Amino acid sequence: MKKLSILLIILGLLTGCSEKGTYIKNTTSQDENSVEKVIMNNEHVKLAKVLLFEDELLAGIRVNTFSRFQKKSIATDIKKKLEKEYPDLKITVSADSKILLETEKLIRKKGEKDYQKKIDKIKSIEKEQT
Amino acid sequence: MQQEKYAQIEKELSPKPPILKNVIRAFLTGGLICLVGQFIALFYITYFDFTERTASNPTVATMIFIAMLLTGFGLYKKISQFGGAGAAVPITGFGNAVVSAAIEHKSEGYVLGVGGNMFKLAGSVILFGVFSAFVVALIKTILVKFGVVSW
Repeated sequence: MKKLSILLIILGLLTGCSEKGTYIKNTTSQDENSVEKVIMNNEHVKLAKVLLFEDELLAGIRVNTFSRFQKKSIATDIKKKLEKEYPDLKITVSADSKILLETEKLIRKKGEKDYQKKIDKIKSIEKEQT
Repeated sequence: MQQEKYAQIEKELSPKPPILKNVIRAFLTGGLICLVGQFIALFYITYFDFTERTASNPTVATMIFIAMLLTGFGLYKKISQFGGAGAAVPITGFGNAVVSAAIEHKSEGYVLGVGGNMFKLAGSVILFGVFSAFVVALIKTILVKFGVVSW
């Protein structure tokens, strides 16, 4: 029994548990299918949470563990492709886990009252250098 | 001739250090310290407005603070005796070097004792750290100027 539980713990630690896929919340009339296509076409991306609100597109992505060294260039690559698809939206793409976390919080949140304020806040901390 | 002979005799007589054991211990200790640091960074990312990039500064400060307390209570000594390089290489080892020197020379007074000796060990870390950062920045600046890499 003890050995079995140790084995289960080790297996749990080794495999880990993480979500996969792309989650999109769209509060605008924009077409969201090409967002999913752009993000899913990149093989480095493991998880993405996207929020479309008014003229903002906020995307938090998580890349595969061994692609983490290039996560910045992956994010800029996706941003460029999205800008081509949606020229009239303000696009923010980041591979930082903080952006992913905050975007998820916004997606879960009910009501769109202070979305704009929160999005501005996320964008400002994303720009911070030190 | 005499010197060579002495070196040979010394080599034969001195006990062999248990390298593999030391390496494993250093790996585990250093890994545990970094795990604690990762948890602290995650804490700052989750509960404060820090991103992965900006969370490193408060994390380092917290780790040094913890190392300072452990040094003062005499616990870091035990960790270093077990872990060796695993406890000396992370930033906590740097904090330990500063604080232990300060404690050691406290009896000589605050200015000439603590102030003068605090960076006795850590001073070389700061000097060569700043110098190597300067060299790396110089190389990167040149590479950016020639267009090999970008900032």
